[in-house]
Amino acid sequence: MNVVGRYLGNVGDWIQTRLLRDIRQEEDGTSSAPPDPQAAHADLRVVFVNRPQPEKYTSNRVSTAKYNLISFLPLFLFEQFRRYSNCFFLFIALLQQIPDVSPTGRYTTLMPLLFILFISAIKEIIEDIRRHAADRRVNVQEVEVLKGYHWQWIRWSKLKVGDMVRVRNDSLFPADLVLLSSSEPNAMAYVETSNLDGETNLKVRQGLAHTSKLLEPKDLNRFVCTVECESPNRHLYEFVGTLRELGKPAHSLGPQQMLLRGAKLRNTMWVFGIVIYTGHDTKLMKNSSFPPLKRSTVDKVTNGQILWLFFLLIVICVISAVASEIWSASYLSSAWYLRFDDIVISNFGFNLLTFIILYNNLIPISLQVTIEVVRLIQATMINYDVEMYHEESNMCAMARTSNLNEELGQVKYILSDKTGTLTKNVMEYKKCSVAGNVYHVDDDALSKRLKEGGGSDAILLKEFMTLLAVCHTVIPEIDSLGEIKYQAASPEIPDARYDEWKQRMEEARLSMHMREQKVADAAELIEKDLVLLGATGIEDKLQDQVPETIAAFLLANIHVWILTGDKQETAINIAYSCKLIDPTMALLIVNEDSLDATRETLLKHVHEFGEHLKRENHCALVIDGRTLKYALSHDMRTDFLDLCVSCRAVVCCRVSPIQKAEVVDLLVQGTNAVTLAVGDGANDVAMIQRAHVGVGVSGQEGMQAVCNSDYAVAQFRFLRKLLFVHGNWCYHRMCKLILYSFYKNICLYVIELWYAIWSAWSGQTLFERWCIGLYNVLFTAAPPLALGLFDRVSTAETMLKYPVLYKMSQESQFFNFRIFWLWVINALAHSIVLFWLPAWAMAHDVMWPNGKEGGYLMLGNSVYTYVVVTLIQYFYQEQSGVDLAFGQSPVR
Amino acid sequence: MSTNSDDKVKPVNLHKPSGTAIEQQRLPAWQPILTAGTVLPMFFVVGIAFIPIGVGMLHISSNVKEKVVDYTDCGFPGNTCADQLKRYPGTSCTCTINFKMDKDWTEGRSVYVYYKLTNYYQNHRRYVKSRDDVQLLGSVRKEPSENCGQFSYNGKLPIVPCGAIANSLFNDTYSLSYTPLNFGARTEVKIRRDGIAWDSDIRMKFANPQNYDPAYPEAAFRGTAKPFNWPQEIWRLTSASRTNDALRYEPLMVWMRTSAFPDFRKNYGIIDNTQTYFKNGLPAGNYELQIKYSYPVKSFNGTKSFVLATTSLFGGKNPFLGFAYISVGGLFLVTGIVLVFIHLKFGKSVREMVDVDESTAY
Repeated sequence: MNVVGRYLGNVGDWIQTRLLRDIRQEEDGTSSAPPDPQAAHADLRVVFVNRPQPEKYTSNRVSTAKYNLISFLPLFLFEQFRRYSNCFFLFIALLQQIPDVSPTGRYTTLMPLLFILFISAIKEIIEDIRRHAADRRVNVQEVEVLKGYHWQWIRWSKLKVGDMVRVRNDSLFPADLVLLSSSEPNAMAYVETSNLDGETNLKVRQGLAHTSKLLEPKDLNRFVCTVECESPNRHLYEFVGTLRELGKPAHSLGPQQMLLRGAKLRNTMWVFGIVIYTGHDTKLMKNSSFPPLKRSTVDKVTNGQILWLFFLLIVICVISAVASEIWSASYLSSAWYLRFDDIVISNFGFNLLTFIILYNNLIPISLQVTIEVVRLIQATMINYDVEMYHEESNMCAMARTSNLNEELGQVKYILSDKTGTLTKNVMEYKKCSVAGNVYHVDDDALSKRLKEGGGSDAILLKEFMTLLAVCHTVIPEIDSLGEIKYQAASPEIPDARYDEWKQRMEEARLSMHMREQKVADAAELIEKDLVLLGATGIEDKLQDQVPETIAAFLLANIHVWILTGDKQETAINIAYSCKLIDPTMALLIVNEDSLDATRETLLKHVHEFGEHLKRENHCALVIDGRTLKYALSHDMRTDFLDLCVSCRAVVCCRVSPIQKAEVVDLLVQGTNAVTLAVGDGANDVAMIQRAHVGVGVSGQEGMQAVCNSDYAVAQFRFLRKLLFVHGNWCYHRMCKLILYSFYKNICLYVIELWYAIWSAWSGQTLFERWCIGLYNVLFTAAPPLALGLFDRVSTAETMLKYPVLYKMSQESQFFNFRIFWLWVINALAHSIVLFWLPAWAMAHDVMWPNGKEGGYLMLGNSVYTYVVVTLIQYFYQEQSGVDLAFGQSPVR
Repeated sequence: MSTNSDDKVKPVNLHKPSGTAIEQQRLPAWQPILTAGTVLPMFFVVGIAFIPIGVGMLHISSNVKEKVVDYTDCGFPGNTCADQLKRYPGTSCTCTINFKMDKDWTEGRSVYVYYKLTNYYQNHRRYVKSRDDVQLLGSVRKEPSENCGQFSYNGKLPIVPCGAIANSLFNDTYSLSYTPLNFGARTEVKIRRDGIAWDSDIRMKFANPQNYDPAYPEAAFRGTAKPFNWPQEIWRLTSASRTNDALRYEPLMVWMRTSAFPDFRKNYGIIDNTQTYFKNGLPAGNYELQIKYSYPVKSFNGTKSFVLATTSLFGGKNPFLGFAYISVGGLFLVTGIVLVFIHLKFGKSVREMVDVDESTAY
């Protein structure tokens, strides 16, 4: 059992604020030095209310679509032709337009290329139509805007900066607003921000005291002011602004007055607000970004092999062109029937182009689009998996990207956040300690002691309970069933010397620049001379099946590292309770204060390992954030990495979000291993984005992690099926699909080379042009798709039962340089048999009892047919249990 | 990312997948588990089946009759027809070759006549494409296709048929006569030159112009020129029956169907079995082949042969497939025997292979 002690007060808040500041600094790339005031002035926004707005800001119409009618074609084509393969095929298609160069007609490449672009275009259009529809639904919503003395309904898209709006209960805010007044006392308003950060508790917002009286349209109409604020940014929890009314003192505006687009008004009849940021300037839109483009290992290997294959293609073409020169020189002058006037026939350059066209399909034209379609369907299958559905949260697994499916089968390191990922992050009160006495939740000693009274500890206890009852932000909400729900956030503090302090605080708050620092300084003034009354003990339980899942990962040779912001004891306790480390393991704890001490300790451990270094040992490494900073410094990185990979488990505690990402970087750069980062909070975003695969756990800490992840799951335990079953399957399927696609194209098109030997190296194609054009898109389109979608190397049950099966995909046993070229050699061997057997069998040209001879198309079409039949047969040989899609569903 | 502004209240468990077999990837699947017990018999089945098939095919092939007479150097030694053609290009020369047939070819099967050319690249890319299929369908006055290249026009007149293939039409002709071995008069063996082209070529790919009249064939081709190498105009190509003339002349269709390899044979004709002596084929005896020699091949080291052949179910004489079947069958048998030996010596039982547990070495 894990007991986390948490001191009362706003310590939690502080940590969060610090954390956000850290993140912000990382994102902005600024150091901890105060920002340059001049620079800050440059991005100031001044909003004029009830006065003409001199500056024109972004419209409130949002568009998340990639294309519109005009931009579709250029943008789409640009996207498509950024891929080398498409460029290559376009180049071939252009070459084919040169008269007398193409051996296969003008359209044998253009047609399949257009077909493939057409399929891609349809996919893009369908996706974009969905986005357009979603945008339209958003933009046509209506909101009330003050026009003169009346409220008028207008569309969201028409809303402008500086407009005054009225938003009613249970409505979404149309833009980022500054709260002026509300139906509630003191301009209070409750908002739900689950769309923004996933937190479902209600939050309180409060307008400034001197605007809270603006309750009538005529008041609002007379309210002339300016709002100075920061230029639009993506920080959800921060806002700095100043409200200046003509001839009156200025008032500071903060996050407390902000109503963000995406949030929803709750428990409040209406609010009045001023539009500050519109459309794409709103914090919601600033936060919606595409995850960084990641490519899978299989993808990279494939691309490398394509380059090699291209090289091979060029070699074959040069050989053919040289052979053509030699043949022409020795034969052509005497062959009266081949006497062509023009020079093309003996031009080496033209011949080379001819052969490039003849052999270009060694590189499969349809591979890219097949892979895309297959991945999309694979991702859908992940989303559909009922075993990864979490009943309590009503969440399915979600593949947010589809191009990493096979990477899930190759994971070697899992870097996991602790709180909310391994544990539930549901804080459950267990006990408290006041004045040296410990009170458990399930005995009544505490209430007894309170009733009895007397003694200093009883007074302390009473004080303690009072503070517990007062200092919080619990909002009671009566739901439809009449039950009271408590919506809690974090606590606030009152004090006797409040007035004096308040003034300082106000000053600090009004300053536009370095405000945070000044507020913090002011807060320091009051947060001192505090007395420790007691502590509450709160338990954060492990999520379901975490120990089993981790045990399975260890069996599958996956290393699990825990990276947590929590303190060392907690982290080690959790590592024990989730069976990552066991009592028989040696713990290497590295906590040092200086660079030199860290170096010394690391080197000492490295020496202790001796020849066992870089092999897995029965030990675990524990390091804290401060030491990690030194260990990650340039000269120690390698030693530290060696040490880490020598241990069965690594636990990093008290690490900042950026350090989490740095650990991922260390692994990614220092080893070839595939890393998977899993976390649930905003502090895990950096590592989720840096790792090969980022998995977000949708938990208590909001949607930030999920929104930046590649895959989202509701529970840590679902990783097991995601990796062992989906990852493994997708890896095998993708490997087979790719290998098979190359195989089939090499098998057919190398035959053109064999035929060149007999056709005077003239570049004559053996096959009929329709057969060539339809080869990839029709005659052999189905087997790769079937392999990519239905092949099952073994059943889900088997793979979950025997984690060791994961090693097959993890160690790239089915797709690497060697395997690829074995397939290529296999294709060559098959092509030789497929060409020469029919060639010899038809050597005398007469194939029928009627005595007629066949001609070259007879041979070509026969060979083509045998190739297709062989490919289908080979498909059946290579598949491992392809679903019999039309069979009855089994009872298993 | 789409906007998060969709504020509809989601019904409970809306997201729960339906759990159908196809979504859960639980469709029934079948995978053969290859074991020695299932694979080894396959080797013997294939081996035992293929060898008799091969022997049968060899037998069939050996029953096919074939007589090849190379006449490249026919003529007087020192002054062959080839020499004459070299000296006077465009002329023709007549020569005779005698050959003897030891056995009767009188099983009642048709005897086909072929000409065989070697080292002749009818499959050269530029040659293959040098034709105009539209023109061959009768549109003779239109501009010839650019594929025909320099074989498109003679002066201002379009060449019909245009292109390098038609230009190099094989134009040697044969006349064959028979003398019985013991005694008797010489009899001419008639060779039909129809019934040799593909049906599809006759029906769909070659047609005379619409205004073609067999009585005045030249009218339809007025305003066109003959190919450079041809001794006569297209409308002079006539069959004995006068049904397939000019562009529908079957030897032209045969030639236009270009060959796959530089050594090839093409249909010349069929021995006319309406003749009294040759109802059942060609009897044994002495034959005299008279050749009107006009097609030069010596310059590029080619050869020309006259071929008489019958056919079987599998076409012409070709023992390759028989040998291939026998070799593959034999290979399977030998492999099967080796594998049985390996299996008996080192194999594991199915139980050993299937029972995998944690202690099994990976």
